[in-house]
Amino acid sequence: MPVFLAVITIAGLLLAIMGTGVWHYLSWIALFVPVFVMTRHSIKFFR
Amino acid sequence: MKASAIRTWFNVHKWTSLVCTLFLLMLCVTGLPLIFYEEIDHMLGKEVEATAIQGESRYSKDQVLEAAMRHIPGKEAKYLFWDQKDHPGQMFVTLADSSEAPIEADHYLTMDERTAKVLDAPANEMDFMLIMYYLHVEMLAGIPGKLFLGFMGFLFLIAIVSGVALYGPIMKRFDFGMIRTEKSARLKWLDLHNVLGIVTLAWAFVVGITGVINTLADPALDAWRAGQLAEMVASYKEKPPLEGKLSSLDAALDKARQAAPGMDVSFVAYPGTLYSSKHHYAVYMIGTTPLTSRIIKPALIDAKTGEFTDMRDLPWYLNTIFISQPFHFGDYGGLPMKIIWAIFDIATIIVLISGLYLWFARRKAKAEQLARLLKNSESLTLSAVTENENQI
Repeated sequence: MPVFLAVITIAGLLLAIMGTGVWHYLSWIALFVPVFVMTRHSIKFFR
Repeated sequence: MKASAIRTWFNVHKWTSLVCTLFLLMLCVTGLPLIFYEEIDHMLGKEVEATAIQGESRYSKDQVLEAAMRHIPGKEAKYLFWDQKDHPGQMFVTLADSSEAPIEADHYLTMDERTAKVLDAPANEMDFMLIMYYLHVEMLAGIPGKLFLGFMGFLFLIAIVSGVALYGPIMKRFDFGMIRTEKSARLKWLDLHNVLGIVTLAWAFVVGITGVINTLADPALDAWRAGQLAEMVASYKEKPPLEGKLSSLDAALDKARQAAPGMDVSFVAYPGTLYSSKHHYAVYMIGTTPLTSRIIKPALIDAKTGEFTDMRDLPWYLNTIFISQPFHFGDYGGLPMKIIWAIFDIATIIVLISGLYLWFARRKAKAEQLARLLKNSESLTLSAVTENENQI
């Protein structure tokens, strides 16, 4: 999981610099994955 | 991993984090509004739109610049800047008392290229965003402040690496992302620290390393001026300083475009500024695609005769700085990316605070453990210690 998250984060960061339009959409989708994962897990802390 | 190796990594993680945490907290907090500088400017009504006149400008760039200089008389031009993508038809002008004046004394004007009118000329004073900016970049302490923050960033990178090294052994027998809420508060915080730390890892490392690279911009610029730039203008070494009227700006731009076909003008540095020689317009050309727009090539145009002098690729260290910048700012992927940047930033703040909490909690737990040990130990030992102390 940590390796997958690191790879998808880096991919998200690089995708947006390749171009606009579809590149940006792909980048947002990729970067949403780690954001989702950390929200889902850390929510237990605050409950 | 051996126990001794884990202990070493733990100490590396503890000390590098402890030293840099407060500064990193400051960087994360001041960085947060900076992510949204465009949106905040827009909200405050500071952003201006060029008039919607279509077609080519009736005014030359020289005329637009003259209009800017008339607006604040007695100043010299330092830099001109264009942003065709987001602000077409606008020319950003930086004026100051002299080309070598410090950046704090610069005046910024936004000019409408089609009407040669001043669109915006904010007063030269510190506002909230500028204070955030200078705190973030140099803690209001100039180049030493900047380099100091660079060193703190370097420690942060070591803290990240050592944190990852510890993550493996700690999580070996546990599921990813567990938060143990039913046990001690310390375990709960440790789990939060671990899950947020490991998820933000790649982002924090990229933003950290590009931040450190950015702090080296001043020495890199000095190295370029002393090296490549000096070589390019070697024949000007003995020439007297520039006096009187400069050659045409429009002609200089044309010369630069001829030298770099297919590239756009990004900005112009005037003679005597940090980004040029004492005798030249430095016209910085960039590529037109998202990827090649990070590759910058300065053309040097004699600011007296208007002749083309030289154009070379920037050295690798300056290219590295320019390419690293968007990855630090997070401004290259629209508003959704900025929001993602902010979420990661806040997560990093929580990692820093939880790390600090863990250090305090551990110290407290250790002190309590020591107190228990002392209490339980034979009173004999204690009295022996007291006797020893009395003898001393």
